[in-house]
Amino acid sequence: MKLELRMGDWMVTMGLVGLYRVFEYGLRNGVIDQRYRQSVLVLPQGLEVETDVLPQLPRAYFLYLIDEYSAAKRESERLLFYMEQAKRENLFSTASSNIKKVITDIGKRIQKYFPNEPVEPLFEKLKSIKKPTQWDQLQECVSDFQKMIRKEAINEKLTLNYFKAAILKSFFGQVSFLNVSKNYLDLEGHIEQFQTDYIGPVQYDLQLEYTLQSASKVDEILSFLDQHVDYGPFKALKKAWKKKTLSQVREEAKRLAECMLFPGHFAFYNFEEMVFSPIGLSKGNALNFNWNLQDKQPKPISSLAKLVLFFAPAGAAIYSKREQSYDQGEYRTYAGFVQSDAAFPEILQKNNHFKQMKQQKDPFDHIVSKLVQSITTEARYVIDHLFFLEFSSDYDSKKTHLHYYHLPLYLARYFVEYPGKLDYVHYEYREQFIQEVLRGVDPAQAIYRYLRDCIENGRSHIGPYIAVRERNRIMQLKKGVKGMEKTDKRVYALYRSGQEIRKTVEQAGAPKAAGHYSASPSKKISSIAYRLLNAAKAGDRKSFLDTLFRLHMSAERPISPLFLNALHERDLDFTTVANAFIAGLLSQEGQGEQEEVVS
Amino acid sequence: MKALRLKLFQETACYKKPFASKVAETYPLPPYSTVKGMIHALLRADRFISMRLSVQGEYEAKLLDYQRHYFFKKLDTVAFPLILDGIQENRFVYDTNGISTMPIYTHMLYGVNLLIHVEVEDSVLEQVIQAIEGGGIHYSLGRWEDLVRIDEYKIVFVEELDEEKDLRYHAYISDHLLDIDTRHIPYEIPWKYEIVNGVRKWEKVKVGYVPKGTTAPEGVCIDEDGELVFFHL
Repeated sequence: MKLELRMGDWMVTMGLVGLYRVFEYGLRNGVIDQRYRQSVLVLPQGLEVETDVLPQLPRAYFLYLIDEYSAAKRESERLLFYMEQAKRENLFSTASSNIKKVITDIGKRIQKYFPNEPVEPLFEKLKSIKKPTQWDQLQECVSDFQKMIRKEAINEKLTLNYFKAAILKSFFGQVSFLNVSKNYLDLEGHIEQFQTDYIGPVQYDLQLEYTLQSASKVDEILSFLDQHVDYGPFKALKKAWKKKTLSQVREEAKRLAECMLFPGHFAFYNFEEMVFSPIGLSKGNALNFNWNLQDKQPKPISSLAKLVLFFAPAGAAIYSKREQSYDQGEYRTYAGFVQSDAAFPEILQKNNHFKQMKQQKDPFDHIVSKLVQSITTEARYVIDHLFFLEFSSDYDSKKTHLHYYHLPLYLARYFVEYPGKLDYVHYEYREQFIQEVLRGVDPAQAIYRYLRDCIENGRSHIGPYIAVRERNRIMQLKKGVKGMEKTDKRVYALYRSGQEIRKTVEQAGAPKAAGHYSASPSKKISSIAYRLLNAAKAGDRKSFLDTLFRLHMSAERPISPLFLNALHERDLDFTTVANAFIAGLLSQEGQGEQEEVVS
Repeated sequence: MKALRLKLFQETACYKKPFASKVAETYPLPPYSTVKGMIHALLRADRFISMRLSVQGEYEAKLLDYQRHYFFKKLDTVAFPLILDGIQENRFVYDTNGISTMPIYTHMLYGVNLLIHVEVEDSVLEQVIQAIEGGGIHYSLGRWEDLVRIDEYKIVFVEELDEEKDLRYHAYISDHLLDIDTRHIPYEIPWKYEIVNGVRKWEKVKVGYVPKGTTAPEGVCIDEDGELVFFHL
């Protein structure tokens, strides 16, 4: 039987992408037999799935995830990095203690599940390593450990535990094999549980639909229900239809709930937390979230929808990301997805591209530019309406951070016309910058934080200037301005005037009055930059200009009329004026050449 | 044909998507069901009134609001959410078996401008205008707290567009009007419902969310002041 699964809401499309990835993986690696190769077809509107292939999917699902999140691969890469570090004498002690920590943590887990593995001798050997001269011994330990962790059974168990806890749990909570009571299961046990909980119901429900259509007598339907009486929903149907005629049964079947995600299928389940935890709520604990306080099946969905949603983790790109500023905030695991108005094959391709780039840790702006460029149409810029979505969900605290990033026309134009311009901006600030821009928010706050970081840590870099200029370009594009040359020149002039003031202050040096302390020029510059930045952040034009005038007077330099924009904002807005000047004040000479490169 | 044109403004609004409970996601423009609901509420209607709608608009930015929500765990609980913040010596405690609270994120649109056309029987049209002029409570579109300011209401004549024109706002344009060249984000927007097994079963309209600046497809309408109209039926 053929099923057409149409894409729809993002979670459904994510599930379909996941299902196809798993199928493709299975076929490629011989998990799914070649005779099924035509069983899942990509259509413009979604997927066409032959029901025969369904039982093949659970094994492919687990092997795909084991391959994707292999503990052996991950830990080996980590150890390799530390081993490189340990080659340097001054870093040896930190690196070796990191290595010891990794090996001890993982080793203890191995010991728990595989008591016969020689973990204890490895620990003993590690303990004796203390000096940089023992690098070879350390290397020996690491390679012994790698051999151990690469054993199929060990890698399988550790990886299973990892993706269950770190990835699947945030999608589904403690349902099916994710329940703690199923922790003892091995790979085969997991596959079996998946079959029972997800594949079985889909097969039964579809067979019921078929039997209802094809039956010539009511007994055919009843005996079918009898055969699968252990399946919960059928038990109730059997009871209700026992003494009915065929036409009555068919009439009643029409009144059964219909799936909200895949219309036309019976809905015996409900969309709630255990089906898709990032946005669902537990049915019984949030009655007021349902229309008319419905407590039975407020959002009916079919077993098929439940299965498709279960593939969503394979459809997303998983990565960790720090929110907030550079030195604050914690890393969270995010699942990202690209949605666009394109046909399903294109969405699939874009998501594969997105996942690949996220794995390479490409910064967000690169990803956006690449995605935009890879689909550049005949037109000069892309009109395709891209939209990125990412979420981080914690099942235990019942909290989901979900972000939408739309790519409106002016931004698409920006990424096509100015690709890679943000390269000089520090990675963390660049991500924040792009994310704010994609949300339709002025990225000024990210620039303030960046400037503050530069002042605090005495960094001198071209980055803040680039950020100011790119922000200005984006704001201009938003307003519909086309040529950027004039406004770019103005920003550059302000930046240069900041640089020149710095040069003058530095050349003047500290006055040498005997017995009196006098701050060094760099300290002076930082304190002025702080004051200017605070004024800019508060939107206090008066205070900004006041400091600026004094600074120019003490440096005996004329003031550029461009600064008047801080008041009338005819050519540039106050934020750009202030930030461009501060960026100049913080950057040292010799960076004019760099500017040539990045303009 | 005649239609009522409404120009609306909302400082913030959330047009919640049906599946989004733990995070309240919002549609980019109010779905037809929400606009239909607002008109029905204005009329204090107790049954469905047939009408055609056109929804266009834009918003400045999206923001996240972290809100405390109350969760009812039992139907027969006597507990109810009563906010007593700021009251001195308050010893009131909730019955946590019946009610619990949790903060959740709500996506909100900021600075929403909407242009809505309603085509409905003349007599109903008059009633809507009367209701707007003599309304006794605040107007809201979306959730109860999403206040709406009615900047203009005007009866306009609508006719078929026979020239090329670009969209001034983002708009929902019905699937049957969209051609291959018109880029859009596909949505299935709820329109009206019937109650089946105690649950609302929605009739949905397939539309494309078309960004402003796009050239309007053929077969759409325009009103007497040159505003495009995209009726959903």
